[in-house]
Amino acid sequence: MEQLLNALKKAKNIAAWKVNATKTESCELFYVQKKVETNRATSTVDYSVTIYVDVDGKRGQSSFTVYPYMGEEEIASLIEENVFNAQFTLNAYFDLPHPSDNAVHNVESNLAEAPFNEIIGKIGEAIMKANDVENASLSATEIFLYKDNVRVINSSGVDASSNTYSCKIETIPNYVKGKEEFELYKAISFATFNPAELTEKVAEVISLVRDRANAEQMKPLDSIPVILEDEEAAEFFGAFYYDLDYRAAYMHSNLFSIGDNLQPNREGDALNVKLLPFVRGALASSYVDSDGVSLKEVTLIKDGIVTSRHGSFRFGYYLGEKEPTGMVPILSVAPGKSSFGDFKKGPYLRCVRFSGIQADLYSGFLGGEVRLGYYFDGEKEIPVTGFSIQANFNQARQTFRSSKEEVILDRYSGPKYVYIPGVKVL
Amino acid sequence: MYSQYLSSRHDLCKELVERLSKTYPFVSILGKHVTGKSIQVTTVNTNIGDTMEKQCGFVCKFFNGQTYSEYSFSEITPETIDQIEADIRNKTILPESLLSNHVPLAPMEDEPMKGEFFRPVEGKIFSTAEILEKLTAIKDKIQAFDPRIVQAMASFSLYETSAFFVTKNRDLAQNYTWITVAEMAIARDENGVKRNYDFGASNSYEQSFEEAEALIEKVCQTALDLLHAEMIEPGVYDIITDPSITGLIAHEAFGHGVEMDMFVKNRAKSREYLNKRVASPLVEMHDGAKATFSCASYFFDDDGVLAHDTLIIKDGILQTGISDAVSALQLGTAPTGNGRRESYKRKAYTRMTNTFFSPGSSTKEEMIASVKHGYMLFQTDNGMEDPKNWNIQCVCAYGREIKDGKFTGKIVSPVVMSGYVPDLLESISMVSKDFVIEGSGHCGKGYKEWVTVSDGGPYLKARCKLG
Repeated sequence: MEQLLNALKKAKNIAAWKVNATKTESCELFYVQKKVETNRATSTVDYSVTIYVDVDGKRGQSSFTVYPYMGEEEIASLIEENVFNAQFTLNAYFDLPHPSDNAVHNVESNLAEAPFNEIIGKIGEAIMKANDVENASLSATEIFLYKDNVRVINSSGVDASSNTYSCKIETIPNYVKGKEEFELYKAISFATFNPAELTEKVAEVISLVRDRANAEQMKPLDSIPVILEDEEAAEFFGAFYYDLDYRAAYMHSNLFSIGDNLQPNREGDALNVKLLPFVRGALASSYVDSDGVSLKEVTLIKDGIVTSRHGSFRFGYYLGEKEPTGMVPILSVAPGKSSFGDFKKGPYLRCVRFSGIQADLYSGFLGGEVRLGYYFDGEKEIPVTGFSIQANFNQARQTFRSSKEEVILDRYSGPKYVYIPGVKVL
Repeated sequence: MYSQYLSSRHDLCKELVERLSKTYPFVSILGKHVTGKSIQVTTVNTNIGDTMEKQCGFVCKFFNGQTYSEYSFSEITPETIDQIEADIRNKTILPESLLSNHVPLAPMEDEPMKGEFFRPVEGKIFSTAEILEKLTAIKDKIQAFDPRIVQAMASFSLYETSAFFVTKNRDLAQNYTWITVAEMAIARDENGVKRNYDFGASNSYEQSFEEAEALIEKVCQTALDLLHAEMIEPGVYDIITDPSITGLIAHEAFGHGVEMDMFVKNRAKSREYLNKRVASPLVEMHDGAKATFSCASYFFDDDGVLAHDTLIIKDGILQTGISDAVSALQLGTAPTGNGRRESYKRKAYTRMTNTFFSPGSSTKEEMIASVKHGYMLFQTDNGMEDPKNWNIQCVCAYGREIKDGKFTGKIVSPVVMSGYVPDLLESISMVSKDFVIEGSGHCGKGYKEWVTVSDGGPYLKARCKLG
């Protein structure tokens, strides 16, 4: 790093620079069913560098990667090559962020309390403890423990860094019913390890795959209220995040602008969406973005009205924002007043596992193939599978209701359930 | 040109293999250095940066007598080799409680093999200025096509992979390059905002640009047509898939299910169907880095296994799957050169490479004429595998309606294909003579582990649920 900073400081013809350094140590464990197949450890470092040149009031930039093997001479030669390249990319001038939070952020985690290869064993044990249900098993489990040090430095004086610990798990529960077998996918992530909680989460997924095995073929319906939950609830609200990015506005590809009413015909809950830098339990939390912008809370949508945009410092600068937000990572949606129980008072189709939901503001399409759902016809609830749902997203944003129960995911904090009336089942 | 850096570290890695081989019965080191650049020109700005595939480092894989262990590191020098050796030995130690319950494994075969495989860029190499000039010309043509096009984008991406693989007895090196030129038009009117894209890709600057330039009009017109796209009336229809959607079916609906690490984990329904019928007799399907020439064509995989052309389905009968080295070891089969890593920092899994259906005997025109009411489906948006239960989710960017053998002019977008994989493959009733490989894809395993892949084939006529 010192060699890189020296080379940048000595370089001629550059107006500004930025370095993003990422050091990662990991410990990884791969199970085939209940048995260990492979384990891994990593210790890696990368430096991503951007240099900026100014010509006739315009600013050009070029990015490259510096590896640990490179000496000062090789780095200097790379800088020179990229100064040359940057002169071909003269865009409207933009400034770089100036320092406002040069702290080192250490996010507390009990994953730091023992060596990784010791902790990963305990995590494995907590998962396998749930793997003891008749006819059910985990086909495969992967555990990734990370210690990340991320640092951003620029020529305007920004020098901020963070140290974080995280665990990411992928597990595939399998259920045998007669000659047929069924599976589901589950990703679990956390920064604080609680063995009992982890066992419970895995047990919950195993119970879901048992339901998939016992599920009936869902019948086509012209219209039914659908309940989305967790990741799919986050996807529903996330569609607005991308449209309100400065970049979309600068590229003229946005649908909505500040002051627009997203719910002119609202029949359901009002949309209230904020962006937050830090939410405990949300792994994407960050106090500083990759440009070095110190991140703060942003209100994107209030009572259905767009109140601000968000996005990178560069595109915010282009749009004339006095204080560009930077890339604030957590989408925070206000909970509703209804409970999950309220949503279940009449017929409904609760969709708990999708192949991948599509929530597209631009085509108006909301839907996808559902691997497990629960259908309540007004009398009894049954697990169902083998169907797709389709709704008009532009209509759904007028009519949805969100639950007062909340969930925290890696990039989302908000209603755990979203209730959408009038959905077609295929 | 092969990485000078990797050349300079080759002997050190050989030495490390020798040292570790005194303790462990199988040791390999993969060194990988991927360089390149990406250049993007849009209506409002120009950017130059690194290729997405960039990486430089090493991964040591060894059999510790019980399990396979790996250690990934970014640099090795004469001064740090002792420390790296110690880290490999110490940081991969697992608690006894875990080791006491492991998959039964054995050391991999280490047949002597030496080879250097180099595939240079074909034709003229363009300078940065020339690339920018050509991209700007594409961008300007898109922009000028129609006032409703509010944003035009042209991009160039090149990555050059150098890699070596060394064991006690093996010493392999390879170098190859892939170039993609992509373009996108964003159209806007009172109906909303719609976009369309396409690309040219090859190991030649000239060919990639020529392919992309030939697609400009189609990209622009499709973006404009999409402004009037409707949502499809859900139902079961006759479909004709363009080669992109044919490839999506080959890859997502079926290909993931024959990745044999899924067999090991008991995650693939296809294992029960080996040597049985899984598709219409018209269907033949291949995968392999050597099966055709595209973005996933290499000489050896990240396990040091030479590239293959694997015949997966012949005359509708499932022949075999594809595998990485550790999965093959567990299954007692030969690896097929499909062990791939997202980067040296990640584990090797069984991954697809170039996956496609073989051409048939029909013409596209005959196929369209045979449709009473249905859709021709175009351009992959995304897809998701379900290897155990064979449900389909394939999302097509758009479809064009066909009635009584003719296009009606109606366009629908997006189109989600769903259903049961064998039903779809069994319903294939016509296969065209065409053969197009889409050489610019990225594929994840589940929701991570991204690698470059291609897929494609002919036009297919089938029947499927659309929504």
